[in-house]
Amino acid sequence: MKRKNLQNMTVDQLVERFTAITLDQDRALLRNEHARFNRLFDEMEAVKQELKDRAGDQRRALLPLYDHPNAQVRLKAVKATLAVAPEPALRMLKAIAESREYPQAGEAGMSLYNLDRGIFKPT
Amino acid sequence: LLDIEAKHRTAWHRSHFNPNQPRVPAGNPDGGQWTSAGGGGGTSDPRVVSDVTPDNAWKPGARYATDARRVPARVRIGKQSVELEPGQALRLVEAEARAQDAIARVRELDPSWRPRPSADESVEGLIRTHETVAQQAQARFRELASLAVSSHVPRQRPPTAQERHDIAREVARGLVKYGGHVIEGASWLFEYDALIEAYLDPPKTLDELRQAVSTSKKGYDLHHIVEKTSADEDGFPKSMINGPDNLVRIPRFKHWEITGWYMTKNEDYEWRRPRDYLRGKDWAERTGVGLEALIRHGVLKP
Repeated sequence: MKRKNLQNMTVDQLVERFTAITLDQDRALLRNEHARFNRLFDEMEAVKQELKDRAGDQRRALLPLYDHPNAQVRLKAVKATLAVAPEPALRMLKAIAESREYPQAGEAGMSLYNLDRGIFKPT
Repeated sequence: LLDIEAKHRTAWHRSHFNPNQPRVPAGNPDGGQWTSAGGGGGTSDPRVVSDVTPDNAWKPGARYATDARRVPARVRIGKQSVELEPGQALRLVEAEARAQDAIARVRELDPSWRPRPSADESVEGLIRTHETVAQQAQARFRELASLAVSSHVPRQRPPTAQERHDIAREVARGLVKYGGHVIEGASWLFEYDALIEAYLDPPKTLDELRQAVSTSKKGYDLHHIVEKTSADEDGFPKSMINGPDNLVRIPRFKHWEITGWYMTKNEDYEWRRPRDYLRGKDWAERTGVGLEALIRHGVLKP
């Protein structure tokens, strides 16, 4: 989706778009479709950037996705909000890492490792 | 069954993923457990840098709630009030809490579930009863969870290998997530028995994973601790890349998950793939990442 189209969307629509993309990511991971996942990742980043650019940084609108039933949606919402809501996001990241919901538990655990080592710097 | 699954997922997220629910810190007897008391705690995490104002809903300085649990001095058994011996009180409270937690989980799936009645004549008997109730509830939970996982499996063998693979992986994931072991009603899934069983392996020691390399086993793959592609591209010798120190045998579905992690873009590495991040890094750095990936994906014991 082009940047201009994202600019015309409401915050709620952007959250819906984020959810749809991350659900697709989960499917791509399940099927080992890594190239497709990487395209979806770029689309997700464009949505995040659009939310960030909105007045007051609207990435907080992703916080309700912490309760989404899909682990990929939760994981990506958590990583997208680490900069704006660090403490609840970190708690959720730990919860996902300990959840036995793989592969998201694996990625969440690696993110904790990378935060500890200063490699992952949420902005 | 689909209804059970939906209920279960709702229940599971309610019980495990409430971001406002505090946890008992590690090192405590209840370390890592969710706790219902208290309102959150902790302080700002210096690892997170931001150019925006953080959400301050979190209450800095608030304490985790482990010590808020009331430990009784006496307990009523039948018509008698019995004084608790040192150490008994905490064991009793913990056993009761485990039983209540297990009952709550199973009742989210089966609201009518009741433990078998029992009569207790001593404090130790009461503790044993709580332990038995927790076991009964956990067994029933596993049974219901297996049914929930089974509900995703068509009885007819799907026509394409891709569909069969997708379902087998989803079943494996579900069994790990819910702690189940039995799937009923889809004989075609036996083709994937070895792959699914392997995925249920508990984490092993590095020695165990390395020693297993000498024998092949259905459902398992050889895995390079230091990621092979980026090491090849950076000119590390084959003797290191394919050497015994760098090879482990792990469940195939886990192998795919870890490979997927290496091959997909990631916020952690400035939106690069871990494989790309590792380019130019030394062997020790790569080994550290490789071992951590095995630990975090539930393959290697920490």
